[in-house]
Amino acid sequence: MSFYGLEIARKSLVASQQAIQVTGHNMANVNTQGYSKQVVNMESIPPSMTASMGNNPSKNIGGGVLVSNITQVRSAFYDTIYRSENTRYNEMETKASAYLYIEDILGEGEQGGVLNGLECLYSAIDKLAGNAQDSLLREEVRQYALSLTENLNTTSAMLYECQQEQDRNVATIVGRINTIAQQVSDLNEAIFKYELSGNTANDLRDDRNQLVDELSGLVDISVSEGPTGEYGIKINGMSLVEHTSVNEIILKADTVNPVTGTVYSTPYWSDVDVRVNPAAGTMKAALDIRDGSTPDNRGISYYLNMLDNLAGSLVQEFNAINRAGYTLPYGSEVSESGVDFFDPAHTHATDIRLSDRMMENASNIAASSGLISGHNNWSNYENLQSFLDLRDATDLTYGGASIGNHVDYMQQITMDIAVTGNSSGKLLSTQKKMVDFVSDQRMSISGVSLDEEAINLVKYQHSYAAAAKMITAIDEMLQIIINM
Amino acid sequence: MLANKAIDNINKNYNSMLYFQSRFTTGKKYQSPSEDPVSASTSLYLSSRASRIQQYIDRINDAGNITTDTETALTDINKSIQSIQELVSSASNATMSMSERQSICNEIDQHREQILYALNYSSTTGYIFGGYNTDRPPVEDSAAGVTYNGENLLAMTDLMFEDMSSEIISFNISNGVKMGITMTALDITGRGEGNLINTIDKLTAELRKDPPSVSVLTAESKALEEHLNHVLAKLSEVGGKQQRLERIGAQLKDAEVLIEDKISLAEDADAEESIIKYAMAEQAYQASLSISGKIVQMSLLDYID
Repeated sequence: MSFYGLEIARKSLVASQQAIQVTGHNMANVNTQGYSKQVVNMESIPPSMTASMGNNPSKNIGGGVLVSNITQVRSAFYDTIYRSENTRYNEMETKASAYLYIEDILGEGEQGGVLNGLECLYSAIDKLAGNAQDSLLREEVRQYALSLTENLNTTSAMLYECQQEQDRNVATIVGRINTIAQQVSDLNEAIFKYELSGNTANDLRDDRNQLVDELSGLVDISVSEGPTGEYGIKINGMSLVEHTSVNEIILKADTVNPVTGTVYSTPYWSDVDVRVNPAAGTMKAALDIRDGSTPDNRGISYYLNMLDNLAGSLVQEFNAINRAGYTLPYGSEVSESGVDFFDPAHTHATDIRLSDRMMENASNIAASSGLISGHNNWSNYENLQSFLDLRDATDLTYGGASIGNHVDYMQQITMDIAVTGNSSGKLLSTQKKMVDFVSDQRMSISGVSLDEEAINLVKYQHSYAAAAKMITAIDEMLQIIINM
Repeated sequence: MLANKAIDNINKNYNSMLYFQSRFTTGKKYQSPSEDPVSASTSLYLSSRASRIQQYIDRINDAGNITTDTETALTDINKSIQSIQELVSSASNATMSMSERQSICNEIDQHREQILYALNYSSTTGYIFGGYNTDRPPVEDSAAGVTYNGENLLAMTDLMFEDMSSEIISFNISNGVKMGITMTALDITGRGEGNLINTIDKLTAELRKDPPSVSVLTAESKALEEHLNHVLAKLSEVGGKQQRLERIGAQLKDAEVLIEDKISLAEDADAEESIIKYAMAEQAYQASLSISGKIVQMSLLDYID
């Protein structure tokens, strides 16, 4: 009983020491990404219950202090909110930068753009109308037509490349999701085993939360922790991780691009043959950009379709007009009608090209409305007027799509991507503010403040000093008794 | 956490500074259409109109060249016909001898050649009086007679005349405005018995006779007078076209300036505004740098010893 006081002091020393160590741990991790500050929970030890019955106040002295556990300060609520905002943010970021890239490819108004090429072509045809047999003017028209086709080829080729890049992006993302899922399931097992002892696996939980935060950027997830501590992650209702088992995502090559025949992969669940259907996140953004072909879902396919419509309509209209007119005689060729301007077998933006005759000689531009021979029709330009009327047309159609006229349509494409890019950029900056706000809230709860830890340090130093003083005092008391 | 917020704010101010700097250095409100779709759309439409107007101005210049050449040729023909008239009237004098009339006829022939030469006038775009035939001389003279694009002038039917003289080359000189610029040689000479060359030929044929018939000379001189009036009418027609071209050209140039202004309004950043905003943004950036620097250095640990 006489050492009871020493015991109390000893327990106080130990508790203060442990508290300082935890403070030290917090301070050491002040810059660690994803670290939640840990707090020491102390409990007072009640008086011993095995004391004998009776109204003896000296049996009512408490036993000191005990560190009951060390927990981390973290708000699950803010975690959930952060993850859903993060998912949306990453999705918008991917889309915004993709739209900027597409806009660059479509290259509005600059010298090399399709729009500029169209206008130059029509202008050269107008000039030719003033002197339809001049070979230099004819060559100019041919050159502009040639560079227009090359322009369309290059632009759509670059869009296809972008599409393939997004496809590779999807594969990379799926790989990352699977890796994270595996790591989370390993951590689940480790945390579960550790917490069987009753302690909280603080640092392991921080690791797991880090991984889940990263995962939330890739897909929309919902996290659940069962009453016995089993941790599960679901993507849009389908289970990805369930305690220690992982349901991986696999890629199946089953989306075919109708024009080039390239095969793209779609993510599927490995246990059930169902497509992975993310509602948000980077993977959804990549899939949308790659495949989106409707006005509600503007992806590369949408813009490729518009370019294809333009190319197809050019081939259709220009050929119809050229076939109706007569070519200029050259070499051994006589003036004739029925000659194509563009190659009719290639009507997509990737492969539109001048017809073989047009590649041969610019005399094959059928400017005349009548056969050219002898004294007749050398500068007959009446058929050229039909080309020029195309420039002001308002009702061209191609394969069900309403085009209006070519220049307007290309302007439409340019403005479409501009508006899409602009609104996606605005949404992105709003979403960034949301993510930043929630992240700040999280940090203010879980982040380490050096000032707070410094105060804690002083606090626990004093309690340690007080406990040490107590030991000195009791030691002196015992000395007196022993030396009697 | 203080450090993070400080970095965030510094970045925000830095980006703001960059934005105004780029506006000032490029002079443009936006670098790509997605930054400002409304202005971009206006600018796109206006640029399209501006390039069309430029095309019209080019066409008017080309048309102007042709009308000038036409005027030169017609003036030449006018002079030749007047000279022929004078020669005919002097030859009609009954006191002239046969040999004197002969030499006058030779001179008239020279003027006839000059008229044929003028009808075959060619400029940078080829033969201007040949309708759609700009490749070879439209008017040819041979023993078989004078032909226009291979068709004999004397024998030409009304239908053929209508057909061939409708081969006019028109230029698009403004929105929805097409102007016929060229005229054919047929417009100048006419066809059949009464055509200009035939009239001259009849005059010389009569003058070579001994004696020439006064009634024939009078009749053909009258016909020649009508041809002269016709050529003068054509000259004033060309003059009218030139004036119209000039007027439309001036209008288009004014429109071009207006559109350039509008494009500038849509695209260009106001220089004074940009540099003031840039200076303000720079100041905000420096302030945030200085304050953040002070804040992140303070810590309680400095005061506990």
